[in-house]
Amino acid sequence: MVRKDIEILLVEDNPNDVELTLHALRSNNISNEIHVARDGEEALEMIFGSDGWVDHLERLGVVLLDLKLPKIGGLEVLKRLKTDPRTQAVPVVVLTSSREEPDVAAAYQLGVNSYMVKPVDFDKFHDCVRQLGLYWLLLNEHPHENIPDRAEG
Amino acid sequence: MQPRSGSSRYKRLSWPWLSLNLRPKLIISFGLPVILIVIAMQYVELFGIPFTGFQGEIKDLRADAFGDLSLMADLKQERLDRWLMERRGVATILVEEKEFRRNLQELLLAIHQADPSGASTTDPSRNLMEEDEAYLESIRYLRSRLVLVRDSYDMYHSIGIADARTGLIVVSTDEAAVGSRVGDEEQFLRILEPGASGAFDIMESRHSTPGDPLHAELFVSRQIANPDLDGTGDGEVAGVLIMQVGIDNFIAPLLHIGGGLGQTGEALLVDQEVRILTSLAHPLADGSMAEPRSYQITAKPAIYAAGGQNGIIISVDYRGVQVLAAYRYIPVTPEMGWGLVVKQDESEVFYALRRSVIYTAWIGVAGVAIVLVLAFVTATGFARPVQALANAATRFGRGDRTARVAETSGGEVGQLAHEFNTMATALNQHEAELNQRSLQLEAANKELAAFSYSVSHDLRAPLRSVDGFARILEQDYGPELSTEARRYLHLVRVGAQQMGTLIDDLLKFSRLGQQPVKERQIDPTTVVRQVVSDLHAEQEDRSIEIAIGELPECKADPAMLKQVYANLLSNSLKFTRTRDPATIEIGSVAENGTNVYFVRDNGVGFDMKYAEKLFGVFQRLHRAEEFEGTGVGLAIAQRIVHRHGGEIWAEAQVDRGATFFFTLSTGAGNGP
Repeated sequence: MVRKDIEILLVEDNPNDVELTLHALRSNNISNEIHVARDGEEALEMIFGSDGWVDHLERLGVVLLDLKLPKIGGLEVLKRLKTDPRTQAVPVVVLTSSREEPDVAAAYQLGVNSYMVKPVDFDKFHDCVRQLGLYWLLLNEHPHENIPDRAEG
Repeated sequence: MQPRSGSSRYKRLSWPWLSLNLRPKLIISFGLPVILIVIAMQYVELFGIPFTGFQGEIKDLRADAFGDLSLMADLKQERLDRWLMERRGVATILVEEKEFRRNLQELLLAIHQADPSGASTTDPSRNLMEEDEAYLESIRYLRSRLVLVRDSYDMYHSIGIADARTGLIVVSTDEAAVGSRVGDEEQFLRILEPGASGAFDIMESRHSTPGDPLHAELFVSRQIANPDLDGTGDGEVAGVLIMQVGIDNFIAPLLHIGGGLGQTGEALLVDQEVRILTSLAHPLADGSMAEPRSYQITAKPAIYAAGGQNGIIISVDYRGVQVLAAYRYIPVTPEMGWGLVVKQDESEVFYALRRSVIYTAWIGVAGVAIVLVLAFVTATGFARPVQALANAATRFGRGDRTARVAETSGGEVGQLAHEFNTMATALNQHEAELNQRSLQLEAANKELAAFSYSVSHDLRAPLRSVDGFARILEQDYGPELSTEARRYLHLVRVGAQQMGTLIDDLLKFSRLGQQPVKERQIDPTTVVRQVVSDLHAEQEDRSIEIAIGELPECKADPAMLKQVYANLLSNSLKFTRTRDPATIEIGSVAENGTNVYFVRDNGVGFDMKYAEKLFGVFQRLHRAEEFEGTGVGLAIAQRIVHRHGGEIWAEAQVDRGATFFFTLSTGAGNGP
């Protein structure tokens, strides 16, 4: 079953895309709590901030990350997450419009868990989001459940 | 383009022997040998063809030498003959004198009376006749005559008269000799032998001191008859005149005068037993000096001469040296004679010739050396600036942009050096400009990349919104909408999706310009097979015949060549959709040494008047309802072919199919 207690962070500056993504998630019966960050800075604040996930990472199921973001770019956010030992294990899925080769290569080099290009065709997009939710929230074993120091959180 | 062709022009100029006018230098390097050849030809003309001329000269020299030797031999022979005759004459004149004979008779008579036996070996005349006035008178007279003769000629050591009965000297110019015996018994008896040698004989003195060749002597003996008192004309032999001749006084000088025979010329005289009569001019082969009158010559010329022959010969002399010789027999008495040899070393005869040959050789060697040195100096002289130029060109070609040539030499090479430097400077300038331009181009490319990024990202986002919300509307509010409204919503979505495809294709097309072409040798057949299998979706439920002919290997970027075939084949599949069966032929033909690859179909074709629009971006020759597509596929194919340095074109007829041809030119895939 889809675990309801874990949350999703969607980092996306385009409100239309936010709405379409949320619609796709909802219509695919993914009812987990979804937090939206509108730029990179906000996303980092939400994770590493005083009230961020950093203290209870077992609740952060997956980060859906757009690359083209105001203030701090998606690749920079990815880098911060993957270079910090605390957040290294958090699954990050790049969900972007860019299919540029350098972006894909850079993301994988930084340790992205998955890279998806948002299709223009909504049906395909819908399908894509559904599979994404299924995989990362249902099939994938969440890393922080098995971390030994989990007891303190 | 410009700098590349420019640099290749420099390379061709690095050794421009023919294009450069190096006339003066060539004249020096080629003229000198020519001058020498001319000199050599003149030399040959003057002295004849060397080898045969040399042979002829040897012959001439030999003949000349023999001529000289013979002349000299004849001369010496004549003088010897005359000298011998003179000796006979002097003896004859002396003994024919009546007064002389009468005095001798009286003297001998007195001696015979004092010593009738004649056995006394002591001095009879002194001991016994000192008081006899007639005896003393005779002695005085005879001696004065002998002294007169001796003093008249500067060659008689002593002149004496021996008693025929005892063989003892009875009177002599040399007081000490009186009473001594003339030679040995045998020799003396021979002198007395009547008729054997006439009244005259010449003998070799046995008294000469060994090791003192200058005092070799001869005896000239003459029988002295008693005065023919009874008038029978047959006087008894009373005594013998003995004239001791120092032959060195005359013969040695005569022989030793080499006159006209050069350094090695020599005349020698041997007796019947081939023993030398005088000293030799040269030491023997072992370095010792031969002793006159005892050394026997074994060389042919002397043997021949002593044996009574006259002639010339080339032979080995007593030293073992090759000589040219003339030999003569000099008869002294009817029984006995001497051998005269006049000879000259062959080496001296040919000395001048040999020297001239050696000189000629040296002149030749020196000439060759001079030519070599001059040629070397000249070649170095004019090769150095050219070499410097070539080196500079090579360095420049390898990237040393500071490579310049010193403009020291004049003439064409100097001009060339100057031109090279000018060109190098111009090229550097050009290159700098080019670098500047390529930097600008790079910047422009970056901008284009950023633009592509924006296009792919920013243009797609609103499209996704359009499509997404239209879809949501359709899904969530469909039942509330009219059929017409739903159709419009559908059209909105189709449009949005089409634009998405367009953007993707456009990006693909523009990216092609930036990707490097990674050419390698590939087999197009493999590529084509893969493309055909990749396109299986478009072949389902259709009757299609695909024939793959022979495709020669080519040099191309495999991914790009695959794209070309993919685009052409999907075109063919698309435009043969109405055909049953559809036939697609993939093959190649060789045209002027170039492989032309083609894809032929029996599809709907097109009107050739639109052929030039075929490869334009977004150019379509068919209506969208008939055949879908963005019109980018052929533009992409053309761009790839052009980047490989090839050409692409098509031939078609409406409704009768189309054929697309393309070539791939190897090694020219760098241009955009």
